[in-house]
Amino acid sequence: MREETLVKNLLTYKRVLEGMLHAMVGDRAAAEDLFQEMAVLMTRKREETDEDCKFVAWGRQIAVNLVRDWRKKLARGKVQTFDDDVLEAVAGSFEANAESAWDARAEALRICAEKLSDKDRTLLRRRYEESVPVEKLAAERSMSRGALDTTLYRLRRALHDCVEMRLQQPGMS
Amino acid sequence: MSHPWDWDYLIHKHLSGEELTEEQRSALNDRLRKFPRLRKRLAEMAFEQAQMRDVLATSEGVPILIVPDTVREPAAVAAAPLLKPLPPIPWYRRPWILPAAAAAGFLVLVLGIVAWRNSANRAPFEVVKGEVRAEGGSVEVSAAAPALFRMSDGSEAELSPSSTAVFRGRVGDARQVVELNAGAGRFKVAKAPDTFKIETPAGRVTVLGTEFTVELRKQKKRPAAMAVSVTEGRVRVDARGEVRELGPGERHVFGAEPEEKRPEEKKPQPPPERKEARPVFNGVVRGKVVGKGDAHVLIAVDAVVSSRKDAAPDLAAAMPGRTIKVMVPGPKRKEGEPEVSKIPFLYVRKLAIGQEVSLDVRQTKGEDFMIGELDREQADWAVREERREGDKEPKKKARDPEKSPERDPKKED
Repeated sequence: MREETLVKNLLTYKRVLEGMLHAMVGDRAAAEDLFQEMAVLMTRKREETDEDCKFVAWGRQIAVNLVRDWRKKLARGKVQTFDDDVLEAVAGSFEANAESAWDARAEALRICAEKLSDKDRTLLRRRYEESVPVEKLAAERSMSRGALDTTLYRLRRALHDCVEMRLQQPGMS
Repeated sequence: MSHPWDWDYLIHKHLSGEELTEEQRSALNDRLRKFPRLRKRLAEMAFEQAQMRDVLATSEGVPILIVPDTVREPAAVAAAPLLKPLPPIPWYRRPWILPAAAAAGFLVLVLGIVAWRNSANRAPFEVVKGEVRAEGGSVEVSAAAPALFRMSDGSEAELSPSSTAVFRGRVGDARQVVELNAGAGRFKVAKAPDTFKIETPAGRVTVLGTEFTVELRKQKKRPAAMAVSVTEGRVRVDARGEVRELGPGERHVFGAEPEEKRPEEKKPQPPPERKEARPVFNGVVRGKVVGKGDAHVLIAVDAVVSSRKDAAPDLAAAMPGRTIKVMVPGPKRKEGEPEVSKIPFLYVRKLAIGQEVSLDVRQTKGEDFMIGELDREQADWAVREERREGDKEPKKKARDPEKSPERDPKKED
């Protein structure tokens, strides 16, 4: 694979691959670090890979191995991840979706996020973009941690349901 | 088999980096193994969370290139002029140029003054939380709760009730200067190359990216003392000639008499490390009594009726077939703890060898167990049996060895 193609694919599928790693390890910061390692590995191996290979499928193979190594490095018992076969199956579900389907989902998410109130949008941004801890957000809003977590969960579900509805509409998926 | 879990909620917890209980993790693991639809849902929610950063982001940082005035676009030089340029005209040949330059200069001056006045009136902070009386950069926390302020560089200050301060914004080399005139403040300083300063009547704190607390303490016969404690990073404190650097976890009171130092001014201790919980079985087992002592019973376990959330699934599966020693909760107790109930003791005493029981047990040290909770029926049974025996042969009143012996009036006589 040429360097330009690799860079283009990494930019296009960055969020898909990050999501894949995040789904496997359940820790966003770890997933970001693993994505960097993945990009380095892909750069090293690009010459062994076909120009028109399925990029997400190639990423899946690397991701599963990286997560296994990461888990080994950390003390057993401190890391909560799924069993090996489940890890592979979870990564495989990213591959099952057509690569173009992720674009449609991202676009639907953008439209749905525009409908959020300013307050909800700020909350989601503080939590998921700025990575502010739940405890701190709860304190800022004079809420209990549990109540704030429930609010976040409901917002995410509402967004997900909105995205699903939009994808059902003709011309979206 | 139906599960009590809300799978979406478990996925949300997993993606939020929260620790699932072993039971939740195990249940989610099994469910994901069996159901492709749930795996798809996890994939979609993880992707959406990653994508949310793009969707919700206010803006990406845009690099700005400042080109020196001397550099001209090369294209202008390269393009051949279609017309021959006019020779330059001296300024004195243009009579309108002086009044125009004067007008332009005046306009720039007026605009500059307006911009300066506006920037002077604009507060260099925003109130994130709390009730505050503010005028320009001066603030007073008016409610009984602390108020949180965010400054233009992203640094945060949490001022205690009744604190007064002035947010000066950028002053000289310092990107932020905050004057704390009374009260206390906790500062979380964004990392940046320029310094951040807290000025107080008792001294000055200069800092580069850290989290610390400054508290002004009134003293009867001396000027206010300043207590500084650092959570992260490093600060330099200059208080009436006493210069000292403080690192993470360090705290010092500047300008206080030794006897006025308060007892809580100890170095904050790091929180004790959490010990890894060893796997145990806690739950209700069914089995037969195969032996007993004064305060324990041996049960040959036939089945596990239920296991508690903190029980290790592997150990629960291994319970049937084992013979376990179940003890009565011991009489040893710490000061302030309630006295241990005698009912489990009575219950064990009444159990007969060969009797079938269902018993709530908690694993203690090693392989031993302790009675967890007796249900109402078991407790009633334990007590009822004792009463019946007591009816036939009334017990002597137990004497408390710590109390004085009962008086015998005859002896006294």
